[in-house]
Amino acid sequence: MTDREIMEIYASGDSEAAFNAIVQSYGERIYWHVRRFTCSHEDSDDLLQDIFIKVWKALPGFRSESSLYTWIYRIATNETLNLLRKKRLRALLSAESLETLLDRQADEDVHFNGDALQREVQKAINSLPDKQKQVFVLRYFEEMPYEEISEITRISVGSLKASYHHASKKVRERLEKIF
Amino acid sequence: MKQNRDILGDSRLKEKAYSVPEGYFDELPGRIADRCKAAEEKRSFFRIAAPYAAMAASFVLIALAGSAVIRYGREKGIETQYVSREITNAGQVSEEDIINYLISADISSAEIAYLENYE
Repeated sequence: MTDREIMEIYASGDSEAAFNAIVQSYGERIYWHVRRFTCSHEDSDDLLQDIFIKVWKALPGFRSESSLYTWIYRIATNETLNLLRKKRLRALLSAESLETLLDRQADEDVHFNGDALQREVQKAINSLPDKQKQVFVLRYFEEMPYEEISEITRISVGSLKASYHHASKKVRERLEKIF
Repeated sequence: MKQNRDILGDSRLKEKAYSVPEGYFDELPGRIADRCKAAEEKRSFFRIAAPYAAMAASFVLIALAGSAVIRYGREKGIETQYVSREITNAGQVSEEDIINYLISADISSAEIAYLENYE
């Protein structure tokens, strides 16, 4: 179902059907997006549900100034950043770094079925500052154009390109030391 | 001769390296619908945490100072009590309340990074 069709259903008054269509259309895609940040299926599942609760609550206020796709990704991005801040605070109160916590989760992740290189990529992402992480995941894994990332994050294309350059350089250098 | 390859150009890196429990995506819409209904019925966080908000602010400073003491103690090989657990185990406010309060107060990633690097 296209975004336009979803919004037509919503406009017709069937908000539940429209919301279910949104979850059907975007649920899996947003899951794989947040998975890169959490290193845990359980955290991704919780985050995904929080994201769609936010979508449900905010749907009455959605004004087609941006596309539905951009709007949902913006909510997902903000909720992911909130989760990372919470994890960082939790780690701080336990006297460890967020990176250490995420690396441990990556090592213990029973749902990981990749190879050593893929695990190291995840750890390299864990070491990035949150904003660079965000840009890297959207650009590298989802191959999103900078203009779309800019609409989602409300960061200029120039800043995004610089962030991506720094992030990919760090990831590349880290991987090249090992492989 | 060193190969001139970009490691990030390896297509394997973009493949999904995780599995999900069987039926996860099929069951997702129903589970989210249930969560949305539950969220509508739940009392707001602020109504629950309001009595503890002022207390949480002072405990945050003590807990963060405690974690700095722990890091110092670990570096010096000194056994230390986990100060913030002592405070939260007093049953007055949980770590989760502290974290949720700081998030609601919009603590920035830069401020958290500053605290992480505090010596």
